Amino acid sequence: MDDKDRMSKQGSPSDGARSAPSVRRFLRRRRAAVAGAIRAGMAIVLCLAGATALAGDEPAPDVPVAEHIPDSPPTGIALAPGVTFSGYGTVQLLAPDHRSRTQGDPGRGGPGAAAGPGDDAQFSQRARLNLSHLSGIAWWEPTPAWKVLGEVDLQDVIQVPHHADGDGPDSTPFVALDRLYADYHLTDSMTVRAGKFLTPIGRWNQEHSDPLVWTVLRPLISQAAFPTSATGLMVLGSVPLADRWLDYQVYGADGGDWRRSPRSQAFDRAVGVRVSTALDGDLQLGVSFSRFDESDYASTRFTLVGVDAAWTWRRVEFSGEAIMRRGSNGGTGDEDGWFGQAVVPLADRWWAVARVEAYRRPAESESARSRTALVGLVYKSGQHWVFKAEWAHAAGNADGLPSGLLSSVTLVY
Amino acid sequence: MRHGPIRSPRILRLLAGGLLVALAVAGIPAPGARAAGADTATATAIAVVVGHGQAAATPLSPALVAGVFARKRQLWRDRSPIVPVNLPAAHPLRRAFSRWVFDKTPEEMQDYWNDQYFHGVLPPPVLASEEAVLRFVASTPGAIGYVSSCLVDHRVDVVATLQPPEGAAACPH
Repeated sequence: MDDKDRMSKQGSPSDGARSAPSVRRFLRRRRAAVAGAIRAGMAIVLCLAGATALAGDEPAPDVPVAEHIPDSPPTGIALAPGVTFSGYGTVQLLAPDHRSRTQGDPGRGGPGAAAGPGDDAQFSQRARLNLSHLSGIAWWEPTPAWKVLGEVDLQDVIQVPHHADGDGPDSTPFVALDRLYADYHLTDSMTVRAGKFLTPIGRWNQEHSDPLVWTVLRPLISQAAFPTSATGLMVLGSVPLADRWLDYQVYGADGGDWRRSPRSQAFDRAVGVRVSTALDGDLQLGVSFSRFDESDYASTRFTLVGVDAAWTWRRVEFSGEAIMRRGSNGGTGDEDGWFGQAVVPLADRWWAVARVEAYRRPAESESARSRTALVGLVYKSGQHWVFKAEWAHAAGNADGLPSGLLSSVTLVY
Repeated sequence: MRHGPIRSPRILRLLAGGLLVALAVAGIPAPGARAAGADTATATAIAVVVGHGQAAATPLSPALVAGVFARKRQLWRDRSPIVPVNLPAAHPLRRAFSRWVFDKTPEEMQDYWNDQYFHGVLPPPVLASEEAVLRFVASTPGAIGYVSSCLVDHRVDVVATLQPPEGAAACPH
């Protein structure tokens, strides 16, 4: 989750109008929650490590030991046989354009509600150095058929200058539970997943981690039109299709989102499916479909259709996504948009990136359309860190959308 | 405080759009560029092998070989774990294998493995030589690797053979 992940609650009781005593109580609760989550996470990791420490699987002395190649993807930290820990941390340096607007769009979430991701008033108003993500991912594979994976993300842990009380909930630290699920390989081509998982709509949302994406700024359509995570059940797998593979994900959720983030929406109920495949190894295509109720829209059922594509050739990548969301109440909550992005290598580890995005938020007038253009540079080190710098500009009805210079350094571990 | 709509700086939009087009043009490969890649130069046939006598191992189609080495397939039919092993990324056979199976070089597979890493899936570990692959596969239940077909011996069974486009050359070893 980045700055652009934010879905602020402007006008909510937790805004800048909060009184000083309630602010202190709020901060105390926040600190207690952070400390509790850290202690719980450490306990889980230690328990996993202890549970598997006795399950050693030493190879025979004369059998070659497999290693991992240099400059390979990171392989995580093996805490014990079957238990792996990984994660990443991101520091952002944001230099906003003072022409950026500072108010949220009332369309998102109904009248007076938040605009959408990136709708962060302080982002638009002042420069900031921010430890935006400190993510820990652990997975445990007790048997070949089972896997338990969890991801905890400490967001906005440190900010310079420090967030002010009037910045609202988006500027305060938050311990997000991004994922926590158990996988059971029912058959070789079917896995059952239970728990909290990233909503399988489009490519970006499931691969949104900072080390995987090319830009600091996340496209609106990858998050604004649907809750980015769901707590429920999913059936997923890959099946051979001619000489290729077809990946599928079918899921359902019935509310009860685990540790719901104040920066995102939540499903009341959802069913959906996503299929994707790679054609000729270079072109990946995906189609997503979902019907859902959202917690912030009363008595409205949404139907969402999305398509995505990515074409890679050597180190060049072109990708794009488009979504269309329609509400059952005659236009309320209708949203649609698209983005196209190009990435080309400039040198050994340098890339240039450009993206354009258009998005129509719920409103009846043409002014509800927003447009974002972005150009940037990316450096990917062989030592698993990534530098990004980009200049973005939001136009149209772009309330709260960030404009200006955005940069970040991400370290994967 | 609410402001009116921003005027779009057309120059930036034009710049981003123009850059997209320029990047698209720059990125279009020349016809036949892939066929000319050096990674397809290895002409020896590649044998995909498992330990001798492993009941769960059956002949694999090229698509299934790809699924195994992309970690999309992780269980044999008897639900025992599949343990794929790779050769080093610079090894000619690894490069040829990657080209023929994935249509990508090992370097071009990096993004795929980076994605998988964040879903708790690691790439197959690497062994230094084809002889090491043979020894590992022969002695590790569920293991699967690949070697030059001329190196196959009694320790392993062949579950798939990948033929180079122009036929196998003499064994390079």
